[in-house]
Amino acid sequence: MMEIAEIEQLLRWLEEAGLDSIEIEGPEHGLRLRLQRDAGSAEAGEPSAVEPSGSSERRRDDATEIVAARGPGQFQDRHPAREKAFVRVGDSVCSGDILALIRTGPVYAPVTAPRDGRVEQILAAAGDLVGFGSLLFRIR
Amino acid sequence: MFDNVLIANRGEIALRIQRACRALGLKTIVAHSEADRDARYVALADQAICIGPAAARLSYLSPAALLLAAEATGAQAIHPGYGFLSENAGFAEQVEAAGLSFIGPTAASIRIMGDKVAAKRAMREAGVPCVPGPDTALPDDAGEIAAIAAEIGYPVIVKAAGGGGGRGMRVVRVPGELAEAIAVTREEAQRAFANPEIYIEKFLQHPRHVEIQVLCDQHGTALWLGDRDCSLQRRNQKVVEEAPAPGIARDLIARIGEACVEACRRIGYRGVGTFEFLYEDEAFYFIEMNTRLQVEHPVTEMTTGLDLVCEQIRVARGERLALTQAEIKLSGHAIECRINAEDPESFSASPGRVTRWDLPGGIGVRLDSHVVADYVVPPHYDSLIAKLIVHGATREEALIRARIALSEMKVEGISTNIPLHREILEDADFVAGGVDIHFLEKRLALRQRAGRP
Repeated sequence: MMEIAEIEQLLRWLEEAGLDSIEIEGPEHGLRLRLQRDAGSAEAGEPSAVEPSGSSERRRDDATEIVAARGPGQFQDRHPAREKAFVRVGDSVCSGDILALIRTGPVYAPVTAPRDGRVEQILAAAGDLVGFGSLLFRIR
Repeated sequence: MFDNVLIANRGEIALRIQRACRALGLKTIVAHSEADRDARYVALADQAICIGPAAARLSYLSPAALLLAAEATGAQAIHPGYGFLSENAGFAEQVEAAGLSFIGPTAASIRIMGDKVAAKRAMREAGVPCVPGPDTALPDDAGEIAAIAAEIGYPVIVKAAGGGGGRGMRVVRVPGELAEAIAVTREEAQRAFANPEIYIEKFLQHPRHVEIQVLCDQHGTALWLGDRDCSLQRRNQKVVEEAPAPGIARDLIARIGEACVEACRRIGYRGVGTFEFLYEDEAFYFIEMNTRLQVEHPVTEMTTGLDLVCEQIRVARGERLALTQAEIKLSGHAIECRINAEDPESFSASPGRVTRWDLPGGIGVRLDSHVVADYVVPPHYDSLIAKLIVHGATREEALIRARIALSEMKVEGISTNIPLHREILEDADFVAGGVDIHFLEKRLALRQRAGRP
């Protein structure tokens, strides 16, 4: 027999492997799982092949949104040729605005605002080494 | 010459490599997935960097993610461990192209050994005995194939040149089954390994799995460090390994060891590697070479007194081996039990939180594991959670120490195969030594039929 927890686990594996369905046949039972993807949900979206850094929207609790790094690199709060940081706490931003850069060797990948709002918190300092999932900004 | 190492692996081997780096005074950088963020070796590293989500495809199996992490952290060398990208020639090439040291052989060596037909040819040229059968891919003509099979003598086994580890192979017992086996294997080879080449060999009936460990520097010194018997397998996964292989003439093993070393010199091999053989009726037959560190390397460490991972890193740094073959002395007997987070009866994976983790100890007992109490075994990777390694002056002493150690070890919260290991170590045939590669599967089938709970 299969536990609900095992089915949940299978679903997670399906999701991670980018598969739509799975059929399992055992001596006493069979199971067919089909994953219904919600186009609007960032969680269930097809994970793109590894892209250097950039940003992704991560957690959503009501009005606040956390922006996390999508890959390893050095957090840079300003353009290398500018004195002024892209954003400061309290600034208003529009969806798509550059918030910071993640530098990996000679490559700078932009971290962009996932939506319109106000920068509530900056969670990394210039020069910090960040990795996949490191929290960078809180936007409200 | 590098003075830091990025560890591109996880679990017990990530910790094992980290220990070797620290012993050599090298800084360690651990690249980990989100699922391994809380592992102890991640906290112990000089630097840790999350390279991707839990799915191995997007983290440990992603050359791009690892190379970015190397660039971001200023890594000078990458240790691939075993599994994942350790035998990926393309990755080895990319690492070196980025100006880093790949702690392993050259991409060319990995490529030769990854093609089973090319590997067999290289071995034959070096005088390493191979399983009877041509060291070329099979022709298309059915008549020619039938003639080759008849000359080898049935039963034969049809294998994919790009396969390995038990995948892409089919046993043929009578001539009438040959044509279909060829067709199916060819199709599968194309689909699974993108290489339609197949070859044919004599199928051995009751072989043991015996392997030779080698260690080579980049200055022409190649050594063999004894043998290991890994016949206890389930679905081509090793369960118990020991060194040396019991009941095999030492001078025969020495001849095979010398032939392996000769093969290493010919292909310019560097680092650690393992030549795997089938052994039947007092003869060795080469099956494949693993161009990386192996899970079971500790049994060789216990019998040679060498730290294989340190030696591997030293030769990758370009150092000369300070040893000669005459200085390699084997002492006593070592046994390794692979402790997996799995149900001991059904073998299904058993991830989850480890609530109790009581470890054995005492003379001759070593436990390599990344697990600590309260650790959560993630469901995304293989189920190996610990390796219990025991050493004794004799095989008997090692067996006794292994039994005591297993009786002391207590794990709760998840299921483990510790009960299976206890059974194996009490089994009369295993205790006598020299069982074949089918022994464990047969024993498990018998147990099933006996209708045990």
